[in-house]
Amino acid sequence: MFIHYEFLYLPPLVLAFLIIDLSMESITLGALFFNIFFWLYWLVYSIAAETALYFLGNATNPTVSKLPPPVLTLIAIIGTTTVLQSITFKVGGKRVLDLSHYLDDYRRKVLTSSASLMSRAERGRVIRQSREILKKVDYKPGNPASESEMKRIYAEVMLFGARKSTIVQQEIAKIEQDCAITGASFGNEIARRVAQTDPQWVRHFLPG
Amino acid sequence: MANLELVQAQSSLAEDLDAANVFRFVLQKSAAPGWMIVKELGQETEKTEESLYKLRKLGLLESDGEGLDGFYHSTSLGYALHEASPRL
Repeated sequence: MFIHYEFLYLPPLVLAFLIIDLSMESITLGALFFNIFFWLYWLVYSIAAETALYFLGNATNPTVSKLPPPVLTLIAIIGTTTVLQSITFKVGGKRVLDLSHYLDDYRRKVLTSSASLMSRAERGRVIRQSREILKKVDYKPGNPASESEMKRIYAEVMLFGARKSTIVQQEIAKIEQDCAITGASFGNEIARRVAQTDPQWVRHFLPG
Repeated sequence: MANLELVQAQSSLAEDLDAANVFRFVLQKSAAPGWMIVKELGQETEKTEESLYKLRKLGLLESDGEGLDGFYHSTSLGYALHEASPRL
């Protein structure tokens, strides 16, 4: 008789496998966990792996069905992955069913939507860090000391590689000009640009 | 159609190393602001802007804004290209 608790710990193992697989594409855990497409992907994989485990556990061949449950679980995960990634049914040279194609497309959909979530999180980080920079320099709009401190910060972050200070000055002048037209805060625009450009510098600059 | 786009993107990046570098950087980060790409790759702003525009036009990157102020991430086609050419 097959032990039922294997069916319970199979989905977490499938989850671990999928996280490792997708993390190799630089996707963060947070982006995966808040992605509905990822959970659907996990659900499909888990159902397929549970089915594979059921058939392995009830196999008529005693050498298979009497394997230790952890080995059966491992075979179920590897078997499911390899089978799902390679199912192609051809008739008359034409592909009638190509499950691997759908699965690859769906995996890319999971990656793209996770990357989109990371992009939104990155925008959130920039807004948060911009506020913190302004707070740290005690920025007061229109105050000459505040404005020159923001210009100094900009120059410190934006002078890199072969960039010349004249280019940096031109960029500052452009930001000032844009702010004069749109009415946006000069300090906020500088802080935003700095946070966009170099998050490591900002982390070093901010306390804690 | 997707295969044709993939081949077009592949040959286009093979001829443009700057754009290929930008694409590789965005893939490594998964998501990156345009200005971060400029600093990390040490490229000129105009060159990076051109590369980002080209990558968007090829359908490899998507962004929520224009130019260097946008935040970029790979599209499904971008990931397909990465699978087809792991060096990219």
